[in-house]
Amino acid sequence: MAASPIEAKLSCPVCRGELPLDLAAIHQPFDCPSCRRTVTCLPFPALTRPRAVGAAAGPQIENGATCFYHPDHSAQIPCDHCGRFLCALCDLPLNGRHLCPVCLDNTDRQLTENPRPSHRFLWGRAALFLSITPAIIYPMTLITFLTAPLAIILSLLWWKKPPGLTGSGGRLSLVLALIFSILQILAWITVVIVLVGILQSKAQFGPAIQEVFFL
Amino acid sequence: MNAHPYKRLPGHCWGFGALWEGEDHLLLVQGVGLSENYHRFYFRDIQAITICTTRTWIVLAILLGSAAMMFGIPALFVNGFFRWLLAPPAALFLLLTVWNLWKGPTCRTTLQTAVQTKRIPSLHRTKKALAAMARVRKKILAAQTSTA
Ligand SMILES: [Zn+2]
Ligand SMILES: [Zn+2]
Ligand SMILES: [Zn+2]
Repeated sequence: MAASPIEAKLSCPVCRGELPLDLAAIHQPFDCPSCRRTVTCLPFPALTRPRAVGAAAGPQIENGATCFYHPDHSAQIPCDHCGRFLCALCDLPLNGRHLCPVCLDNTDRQLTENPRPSHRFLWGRAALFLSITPAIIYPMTLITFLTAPLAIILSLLWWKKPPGLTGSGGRLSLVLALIFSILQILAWITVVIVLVGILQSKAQFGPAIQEVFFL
Repeated sequence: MNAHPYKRLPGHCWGFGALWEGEDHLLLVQGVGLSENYHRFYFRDIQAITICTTRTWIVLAILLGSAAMMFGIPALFVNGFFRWLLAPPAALFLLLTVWNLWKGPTCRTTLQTAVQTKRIPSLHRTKKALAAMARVRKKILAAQTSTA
């Protein structure tokens, strides 16, 4: 396995020193030759596999990986969007990112539903943040009569927004934001009712106050 | 609600860089707060997963253990108010010390493809990293032997 025609390389995660392939292949922990830390390595056939089957040997194959779109070109870089390997031809730089032709086309058309996005805004978490943060940080608590209704409106507006790829910031966050905001509004209603009650009871003793508040 | 095709792999890092298992790839999810970034490693492209044991856990054990003793030992020799003042932090640090030892040795894990080697922040304890490795091993092998 070590005498592979292509240049397979393994490096230590800590010191980046090169690891011996023959030691890695035996599936037992061994000492890194450079830093002496214990290393466990799980190599896969892709490490030493010469080429993709059926592809002609190109002139510039170095690492054995090939372009997703051109099986006879060697891979240079992964697409920042979909992660597919790209050759120099398919690597299309855009604002410091490297995109494949398909992903560049998708950004051009501003597709909202990319099945393999590289980034996602978590709408549910934003609603939850708006609902909780003002309530627990004191001076901001006084403006929750504004932020709570806003959080409710946004939660409903964002109901159909996609969650994170692994479900974070989805419906559960929106439901929690709704519940917490409704509780805040109920708290405000209670405060108003209590205040009105106090004022009314005072009014019984002082008609002057009644004149001021209930003109 | 659970409509996504990903399964969570062992190991977590308080939201920083957890690894998930998908149909044909591993997904590295990075970012805490209001947005997430995704990195995909297709099974057929993965060349190696490498784990290197680090000494972070020993340093942590020493730091947490001495903090527990710093609060705990004086607490044994004073009475009343000061004991109540020292006991809670001593208990907290003792708990953290035990938790650290129970989690076991720390490590650094990288995932390598032909064009990049990426560190997986969530796999920072050897026990969890080995468990995650065992979980994905068969799928990666299957993907690479069927195309070869
Ligand atoms: Zn090393
Ligand atoms: Zn792409
Ligand atoms: Zn290409």
